[in-house]
Amino acid sequence: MEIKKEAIAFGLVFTVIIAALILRFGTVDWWGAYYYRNAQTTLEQGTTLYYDELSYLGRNFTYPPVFFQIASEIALLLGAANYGSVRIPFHLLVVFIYSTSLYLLFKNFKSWYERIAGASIFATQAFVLTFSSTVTLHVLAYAFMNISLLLLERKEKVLRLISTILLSLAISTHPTSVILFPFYVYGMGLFKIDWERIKNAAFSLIVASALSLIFYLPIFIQNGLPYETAPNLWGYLLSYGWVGLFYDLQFLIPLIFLTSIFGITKKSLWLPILILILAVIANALITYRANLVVSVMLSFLFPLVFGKNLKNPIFMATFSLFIFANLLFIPVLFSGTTWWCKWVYANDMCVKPMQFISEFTSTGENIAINPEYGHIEAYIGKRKVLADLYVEYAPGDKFYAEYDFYQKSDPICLRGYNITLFVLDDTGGVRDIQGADRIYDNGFIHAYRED
Amino acid sequence: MEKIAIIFLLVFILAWNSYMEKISWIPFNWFNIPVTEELYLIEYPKEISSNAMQFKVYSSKNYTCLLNFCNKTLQKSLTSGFNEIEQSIDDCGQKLSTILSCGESYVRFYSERTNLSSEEQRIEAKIDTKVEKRTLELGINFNTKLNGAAYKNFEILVDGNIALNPTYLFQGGMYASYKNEKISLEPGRHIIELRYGNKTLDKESVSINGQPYPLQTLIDIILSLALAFLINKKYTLDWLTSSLMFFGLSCSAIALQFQLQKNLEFNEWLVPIFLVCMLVLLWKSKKKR
Repeated sequence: MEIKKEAIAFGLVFTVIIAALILRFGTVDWWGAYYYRNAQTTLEQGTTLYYDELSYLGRNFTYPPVFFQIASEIALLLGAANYGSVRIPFHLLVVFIYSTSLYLLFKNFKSWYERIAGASIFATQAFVLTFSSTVTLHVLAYAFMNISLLLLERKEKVLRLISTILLSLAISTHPTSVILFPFYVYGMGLFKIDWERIKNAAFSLIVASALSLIFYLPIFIQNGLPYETAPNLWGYLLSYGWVGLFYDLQFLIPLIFLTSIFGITKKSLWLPILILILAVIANALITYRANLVVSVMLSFLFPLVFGKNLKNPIFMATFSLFIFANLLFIPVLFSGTTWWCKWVYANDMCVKPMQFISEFTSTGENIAINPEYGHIEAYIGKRKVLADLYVEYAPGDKFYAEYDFYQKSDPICLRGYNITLFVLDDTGGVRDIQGADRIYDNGFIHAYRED
Repeated sequence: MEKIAIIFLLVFILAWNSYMEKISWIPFNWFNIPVTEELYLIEYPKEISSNAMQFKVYSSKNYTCLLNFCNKTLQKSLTSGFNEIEQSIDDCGQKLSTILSCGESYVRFYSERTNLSSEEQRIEAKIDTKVEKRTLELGINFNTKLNGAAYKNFEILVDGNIALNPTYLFQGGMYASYKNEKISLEPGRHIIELRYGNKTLDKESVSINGQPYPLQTLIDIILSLALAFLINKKYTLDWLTSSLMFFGLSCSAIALQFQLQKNLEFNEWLVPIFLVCMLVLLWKSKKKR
């Protein structure tokens, strides 16, 4: 099969898996809720330079704007008054573009089994499956980057220029593209140090970063340079230790182990293997966001180390067990565990209390809730929340006040913020606010009023 | 070759066993997502002037619940939906704590007895409306006369459909208060109605304008398609990469159009003109490497 057909087949299969996950487990999640809500607000406001009334009781909208601009314009182009009407079809289209272009990144491998091995290792990493199922913004950013990488391989200046423009859009959609881009370039060059290639990629990255200021500069002028509140609690320095690594990488861990052991015999692979191991350690101990670096390195290393073995059907079948196990276990985590709304998809245990807030409270309420549920409260509950997980440019006092309130179940932590509705959940133990009216309960989430 | 396959298989079996053990740390419910039960208070008193306490509660199921108040526990049958509960409080002291437990859930409220006279109660309201883009700002001026402070639940209807059921706390006695609501509406003309207890308190009509159709964005997409087509022909790019490039170019044009026109308020034809120039330059240029 020619590579184009392979890529389309891979894209279709991946999109069908994502569609099945969405249809089976629901269309609302605790993380993507922020993006759905602000895409709708962008559509209504006709700008991304607006005041987000719900996040942190009101703040300027400072998120990288490109996804919200595209999403709202696509809705308007299709004649929809609400982004929700086009959200799922648009998401699946972007997922298809992303996964097809992802497969093409492996085109420098000679055989289809090497390409399929690399692409499926990358695509079944937990974080990739998670954002592909929920957050169009990440999928769009990385689709831009994939297409940019494909064009960067070409010699023509016009194509290089378009590659740089698309990279700048990737950066303006999600800035992590700046960090991931060099690892992709290194992998696509199959880990050879080619200075001409490195120079071209570096030039493209610098120009693209400068071009992205078209989108970022108005935010910087209005709000200053970005900073992050609570980096260890939710920001870019969040890590979940070795246990977190187990949930994050699943069956890729034994593949990392085997690739490193067998790859060490090839001197040319020492550096990429070292980077892979360092990325795994960083993932566990410094930032779990290093997981995509792990995926990039492993997905290009594995076919290089086991390329010849992959021809053997028995070996291919054994390797496939790891991929199928990933596909089986990661949706298990998706579906969440009974009522933990925070494992990606939110079920009724989490959604219904927010619907109660949306329906039976005043739109003027100020709400304190577990910060992890802040996005879903603002999206479904539609009320101002003291803090949520958008920690960039966030007022630290509000985040920590809400965090302390949730940890201690004590409204005293919230003095001075005019909170009118208190929401607690029983994750990790029963919580209650003695002396407050308990106006809502579903056995897991409870809402309170104080006089 | 088979040796490596056997090593992989053994590692997989070890990993599988280890994962099955560790995965039991969290409770799974993969294909059996629980149906949640819900219990919530709709209206309840903070001050009680008579010898009877009334409150309104919603239950998602038929339940035999336990009502605990004044150191007494009674059984109460609740039906699925809204339930009005009335209970004599003759033997109760000045401060009351009321707890209603149904299944896994319970609600609770605190109230006080008051000496306000039990006269006819009254709730009147006038609404004023203001529209900001797609948001309706609804101001509600209340004039109330109640026998005690209480949370009361209202209905705000848009074109006859309930859009919001806000619950407000009102003080006892004669009292004037102001509440404010913000509701996002679809473009078009709408009738806004405020109701309490099936009685319309006030009604008003508003008109919402939607965003205009993004014509320039549509032109940008068409020009991006022409650009991708031209590049495909001139640089012998394969059709799949060209299609992906078209997606990238059109999305880039959409974002740039939005940023320049809507955020920075430049002329709306700037991006289409830029794309036309690109197209002409590319058309006239010789294929260069």
